[in-house]
Amino acid sequence: MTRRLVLVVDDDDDVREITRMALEVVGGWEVVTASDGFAAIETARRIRPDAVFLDVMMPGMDGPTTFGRLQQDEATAGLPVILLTAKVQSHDSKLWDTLPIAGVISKPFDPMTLATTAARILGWDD
Amino acid sequence: MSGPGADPLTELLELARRLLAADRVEASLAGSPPVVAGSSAYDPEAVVRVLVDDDEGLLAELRIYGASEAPDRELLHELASVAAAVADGDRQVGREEVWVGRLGHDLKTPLTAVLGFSGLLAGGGLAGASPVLTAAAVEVVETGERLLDELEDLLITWRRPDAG
Repeated sequence: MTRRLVLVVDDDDDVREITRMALEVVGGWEVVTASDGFAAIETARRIRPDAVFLDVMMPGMDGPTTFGRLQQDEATAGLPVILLTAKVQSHDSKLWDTLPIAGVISKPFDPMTLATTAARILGWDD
Repeated sequence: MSGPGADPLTELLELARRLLAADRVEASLAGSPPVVAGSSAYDPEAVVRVLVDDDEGLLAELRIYGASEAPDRELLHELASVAAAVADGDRQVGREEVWVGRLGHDLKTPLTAVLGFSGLLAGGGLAGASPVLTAAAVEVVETGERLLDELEDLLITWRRPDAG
């Protein structure tokens, strides 16, 4: 698998860490993390990741809002974003269906298959 | 648009989808919405917000970004009035749905860490783990998955009050 640089955004320390480990240790990708939407935008501008893993429910700025800001910013527009969520309700998923995100992965996830699932969503065949 | 007599929440979601389709909206809908708090004046640099709120906090929010054109004011008014109808008719159901949604989120978040770390260990993702430790991790994963199944069943039941 080509070494990819991805940004993981989650306000929960443990979830952020296990997501990082799953993508880094199992997936072999380089992972940078951020704990909120504001840090995510700043980090994404700076490191230009290949993809962003974005928690939906975060205090301050939630995932969909952070996604909107990333899309509006010239430096980060078009970055593929996967929403990671522990809260899949029918209303939510209907709304996400209309957002131009790469995909949604539910939490809890299997750490051993997270990277391959994400790669498939992102169309990373290598 | 939904037909006459459609469920107000369905109408609200339909309107939200139309706004989203117009590519001017970020949406974050936290549950069945009780009350429309208001929508601010249009500002191309800011965000027009249709807030759905009650005393216990923000329940739903639609954010319409300025982009290059003004949002559809008529559609916004329609959205607000439907949300108000939902508020009148569906307040209690809305509260319960939001509560169930938050409960699910708050329980699944720590479960993500439990199943994640144990799954990594059980799956051989951590070099140097002893067979005993790996076997113990497998047990933790199985127990965690059972807990998750129980939680999903409970959430499904609570979301369908008539299911008993």
